[in-house]
Amino acid sequence: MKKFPYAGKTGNGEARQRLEEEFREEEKPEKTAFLFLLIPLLCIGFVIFTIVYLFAASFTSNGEFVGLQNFVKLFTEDPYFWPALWHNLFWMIWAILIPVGLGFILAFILSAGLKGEGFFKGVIYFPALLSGATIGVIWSWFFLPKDNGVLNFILSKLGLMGLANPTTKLWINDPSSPVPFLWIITIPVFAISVMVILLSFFPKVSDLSLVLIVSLFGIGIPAILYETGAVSTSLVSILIASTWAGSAVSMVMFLAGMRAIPKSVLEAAKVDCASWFQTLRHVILPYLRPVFTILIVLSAISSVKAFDLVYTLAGQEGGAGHHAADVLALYIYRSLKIGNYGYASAIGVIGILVAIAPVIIYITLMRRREEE
Amino acid sequence: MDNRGLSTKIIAVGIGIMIIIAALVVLIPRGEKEKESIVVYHYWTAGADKQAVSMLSQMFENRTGIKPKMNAFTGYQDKLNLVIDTSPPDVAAHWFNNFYVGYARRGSLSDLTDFWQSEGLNQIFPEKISRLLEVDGKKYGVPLDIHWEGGVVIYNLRVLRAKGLNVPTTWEEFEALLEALKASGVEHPIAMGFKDAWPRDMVFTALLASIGGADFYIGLIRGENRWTDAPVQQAFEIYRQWCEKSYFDPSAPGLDWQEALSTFINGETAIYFMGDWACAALKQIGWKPNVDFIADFLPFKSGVRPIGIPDVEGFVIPSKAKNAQAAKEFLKFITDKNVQISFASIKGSFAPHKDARVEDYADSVQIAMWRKAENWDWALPLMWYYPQTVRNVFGDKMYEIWANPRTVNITQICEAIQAVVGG
Repeated sequence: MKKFPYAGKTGNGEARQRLEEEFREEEKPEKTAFLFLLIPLLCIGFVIFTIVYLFAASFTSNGEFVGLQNFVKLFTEDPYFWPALWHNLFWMIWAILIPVGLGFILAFILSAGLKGEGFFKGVIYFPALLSGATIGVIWSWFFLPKDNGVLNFILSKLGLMGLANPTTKLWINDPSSPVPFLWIITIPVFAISVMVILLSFFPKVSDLSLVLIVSLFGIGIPAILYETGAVSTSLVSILIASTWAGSAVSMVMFLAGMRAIPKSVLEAAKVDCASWFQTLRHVILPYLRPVFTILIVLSAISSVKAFDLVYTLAGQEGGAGHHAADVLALYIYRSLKIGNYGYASAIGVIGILVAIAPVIIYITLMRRREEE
Repeated sequence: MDNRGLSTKIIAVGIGIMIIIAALVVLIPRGEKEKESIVVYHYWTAGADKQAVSMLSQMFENRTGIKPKMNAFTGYQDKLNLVIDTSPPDVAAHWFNNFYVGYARRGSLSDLTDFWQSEGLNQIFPEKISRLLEVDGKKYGVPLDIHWEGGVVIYNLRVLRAKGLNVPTTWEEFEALLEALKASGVEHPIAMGFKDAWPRDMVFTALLASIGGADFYIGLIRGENRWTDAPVQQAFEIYRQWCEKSYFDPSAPGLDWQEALSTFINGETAIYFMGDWACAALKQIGWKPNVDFIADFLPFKSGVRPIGIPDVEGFVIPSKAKNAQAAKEFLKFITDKNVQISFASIKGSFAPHKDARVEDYADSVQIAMWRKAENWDWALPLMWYYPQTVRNVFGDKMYEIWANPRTVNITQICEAIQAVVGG
């Protein structure tokens, strides 16, 4: 608040009054601003209090201080923690690549000026309006075991049950390595996603490097994870359900980003006889870099929060008896349910640290860009 | 007037309006005096259960003039966990399971021992029932009805008749039936769905009861017997063999108990280890007891003393209930013999009241089961006696056997469970 500069001094009554009024007027906006700030301040205070409380609670058990005991138990004894953490990390990799890549592909196709573009946009965007639980219920019908499930029904009618698990006919509750059907529909998307993200950040990368990186990160590593059973049919099925809504959000953001590309640049590419791939590589993808950046960060953060889909699709154990799709949030929930508040807080602390990592990377990238 | 001045005034006017509305809500007298009411939470959300609880609510209001505000929840235990110590209902339905014991021990439930005394409930309910809901010598609930949960096997008579097979009466006949069904083309004779763990646990409970009988089963839950003892190993071994022989529906991990029941209904499977409420579900679709299906206890191995494994349902009063007096009226009401019989008849269960007779029910299958088990020793389903940590390990081990029946080591499994049980 501004201090009246003539406080304590005497002077002409009228002039002084006018000056005082002027300063009072100026004080008003500060008071109003403070009023408006109250609510955000309360929110920030609440968030800070919660995080501090969470950290404090993570060092307790049944209300008593136990030091690092919860963390030691988590890291050394708990059979559920590491698989759940790994599933969250894989979820993060998936969320960064698949919905982002698929959203880009959809946006690219729709921006080509197809007939009925508005209709397709509406249909594709629709799942983004649904809650995670609703998406879970819808996909639970899709992935039902036996021939009751939409997917099993289609595959059996096409005589392609061999691509699924023909004995158990399970998807969500199948802890075994991803079945061939999942390889066919996900590995190509992995490869395309790695390619577009790479080209968006490094458009000048050589063709050889591009092929090598896509082969390694888009095909090789997912294939190794699938083959070794590091991820399960259950987890990948749930991730496919999550992609349904995730790619819709990405698509809308990419469409907006594509609209922002100056037409003159695209026309210049045309004049230079650039092929569609060259235009994509050297014009469109670099222009969409900010969209990729924000989508990657948001997807990474949302992956750590994954709960509703797993709960509705695989139940509170993250898979009946096998925990093949267990995630940290679900484990927190189970711990809270049996009153292990300290232990649940310790898992929450790990979750927060995992979620903060991509934010730090994002902020670092942004700062570097500002410096450039 | 500038915009900033306008904003301040708008905020001031808004706050003023809110204060006036709040004052009006508080100060204006209501048109009529609100009827006394109690908030009731329960889990009977569908079918016969829903009909039964709606009848219960109507009868209570007619008798006492107190309006029960009934709230039904799926995922009931989770809901109750969230509210029981903060904003609980006045009365909550509950199974007398390990959660009930946990609530009672941590002071979340009202101690009803004096209520039992003053209302003479010890004379109304058989000792073997009142004992099941005692926690450290005190009572925290009142029973309303009883289902047969553990050891119950339902047979699809349509399939058995078509294959020329009979309902078994001995353990050996039961094992022979499984073989015969498999041989006659029923690839997976036993229906099972363990999307939720309890239907799978029920199979083990039934096996242990049949092999160990009342003496071993009760000894195990009291900690007098160990999980490494022979009857437990035998029960696991039989489960392992059944998994190895593919007797169970391989889709079981993806099915809940109702979905598993549908495999039984469509003849894909012929035997179902499920509580007697599944009989009510079958009757609802028009299946006739003794014609289309029959329920019985899994035959006991020769030489063991039989045991009944009921699921006792009733009501509790949370210690922070706002209207505990009216809640006690509700509990008093549900101890009435006719109320219990009416409720149980709709729901396909039994009244725990001493004066209720089997003749009060119409279902011949249930009457036969009741008559059989009436004089046996009773205990609750096995896992209800153990904390979640034990249940987790038990569930993991049951899955291990399911997934690797050829390679799994039963002795190691028993030792792992004993280690977590302790002692």
